[in-house]
Amino acid sequence: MQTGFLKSSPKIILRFTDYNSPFLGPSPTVPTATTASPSSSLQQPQTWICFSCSYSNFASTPKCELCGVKRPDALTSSSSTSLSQTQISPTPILGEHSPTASLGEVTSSPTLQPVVTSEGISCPRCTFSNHPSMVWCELCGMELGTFKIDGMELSDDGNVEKTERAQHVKLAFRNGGSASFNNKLKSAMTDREWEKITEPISVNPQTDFDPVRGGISGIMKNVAQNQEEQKETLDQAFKDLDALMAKASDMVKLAQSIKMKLNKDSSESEVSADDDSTFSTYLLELGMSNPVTKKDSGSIYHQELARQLAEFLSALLHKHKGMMVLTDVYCLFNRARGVALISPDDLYKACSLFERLDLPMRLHQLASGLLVVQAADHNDDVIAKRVLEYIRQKGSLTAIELAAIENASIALVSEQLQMTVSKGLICIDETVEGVRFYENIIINYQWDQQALQ
Amino acid sequence: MSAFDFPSIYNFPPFFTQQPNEATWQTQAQLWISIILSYCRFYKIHRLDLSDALTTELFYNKSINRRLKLETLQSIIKMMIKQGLAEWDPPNKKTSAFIYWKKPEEWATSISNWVSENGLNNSIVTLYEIAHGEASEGTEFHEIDQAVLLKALDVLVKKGEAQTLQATNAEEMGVKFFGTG
Repeated sequence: MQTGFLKSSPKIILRFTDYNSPFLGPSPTVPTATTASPSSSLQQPQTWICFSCSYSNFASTPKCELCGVKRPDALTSSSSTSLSQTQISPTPILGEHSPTASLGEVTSSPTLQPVVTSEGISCPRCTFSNHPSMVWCELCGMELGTFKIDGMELSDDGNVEKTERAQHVKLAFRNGGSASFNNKLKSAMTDREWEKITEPISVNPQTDFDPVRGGISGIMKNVAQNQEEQKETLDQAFKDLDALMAKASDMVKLAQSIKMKLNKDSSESEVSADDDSTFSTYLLELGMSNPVTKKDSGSIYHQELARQLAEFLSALLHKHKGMMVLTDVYCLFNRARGVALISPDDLYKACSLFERLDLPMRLHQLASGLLVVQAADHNDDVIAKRVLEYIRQKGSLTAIELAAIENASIALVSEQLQMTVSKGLICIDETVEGVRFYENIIINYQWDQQALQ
Repeated sequence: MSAFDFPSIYNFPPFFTQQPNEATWQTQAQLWISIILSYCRFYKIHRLDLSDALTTELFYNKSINRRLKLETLQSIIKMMIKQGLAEWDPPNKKTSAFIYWKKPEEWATSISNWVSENGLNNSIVTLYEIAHGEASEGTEFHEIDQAVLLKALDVLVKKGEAQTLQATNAEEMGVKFFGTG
């Protein structure tokens, strides 16, 4: 409506200056609108009753939520159009409207005015006492007039004054500059900066008209309410988890105390030392008393994480022969942390800090792109030597067999085998059954052909 | 005739797989070349049809059930060609190749030696006599492939030591050797 108003009149420049510069024009409108609203909101319920199914709908819904029947036009048009006309478009015809005339036009004759009591509304025609939310009399179908808002009340003096004001301003350019002014004016017209100003103003009357539902603020309110509800649901859902988190540290403490006890016991008695050690390794893999979290350490989070990771891995790496795939590290580390899990990205960042922090391990990318964490003193030559040793012992091996011996993942082992092949220490035998690895006797093979000739 | 004696590497399964390691592969291919040359010399084979050869014991070790792949053999033959030890036949197809366990130049020398030893200088000898004749029995070029023989004779012709005499049949083609001495 606003844009229509601005577009329609060619004299828009004049009205624009008139509307904005004194800023008196709209200001009287607001108080009148607010004073008008209590009287109307008393009469007007926030719901409308569907005449088809009698479901009580919110005033903002254009259709019945239950049966989909359109909201009666009488309600919408009488309330919204009259409002908008009076408030926004100050056409000269409206300005001439007298408040009394408009009142008489909309409201029905005073003899048929419905009587509103605390019990309900008594029908002006058949005197049946209807429920206060009814729009039409339940008995005779007479319109109860509960929705009659005469927006004409809102037509205020301020608007009338505005129409009476000078409709145009003549600008004379004595020393030229008319062209540049014209350009500026045109750009201002296309930018329509004033729309941005008028928009919030246009919201206010609507909220006044219907303080709970309707308009943009109503939608926003709805969204906010939905979010509130969702948050509540989530909070309830995770309440138990919070409790678990709180208990987690206790659990870890318990695990450590058991570990301590076990250590003491095993030192005292040699009985079932094996069981104890396996149990204590489980606990080692499980327990981490105060995991580094983002909250605790802030900006040095990754450094701290790297340190803790190094501490955690030092024992594990040894067990895994100095090399672990990053995904395995991720699993074990998060299992040890229990509940304060870290993201793969954080782990990667922390691992890439090993070198800078001078920790005894490195993040290493293998030829295939597989990322591994390996002990700093652990390099390809050592691995190659070890792989070769295994192959020498067994004659030949597949990646799967070696993985079983090494207690490592097949991906890692095949990487190591490829590396050893590329070093020329072993050679491959490709068959339909798969690839077997042999010690490389080809490279140094000497065939004494002289014996043949 | 005793069987060809393969080297022990012939019983090493990875030997039949093209090795991914470049250095290993070079050694492996070189070993294969030696085996092919020795094998061909042993059985006087001058021409290998690759797909046929793959089914023979040369490239198929039944005892360990390993067989060389065609692509691998082709790569080996390519290396041989680079070293002048083989030649595709026909040249634009990679299905079969001459195996020069003696190069055409070496053949030329041994033929001319044989000619002078047998006092055949300045007389005309047919190709059949050289390849299958009684006189050539016991020489390396006995049962030589005709195409290889022609290549060898070409070398002699270019040197001016021989002259070929055309005939209706290739086997009846004659060669006149001019004694060097």
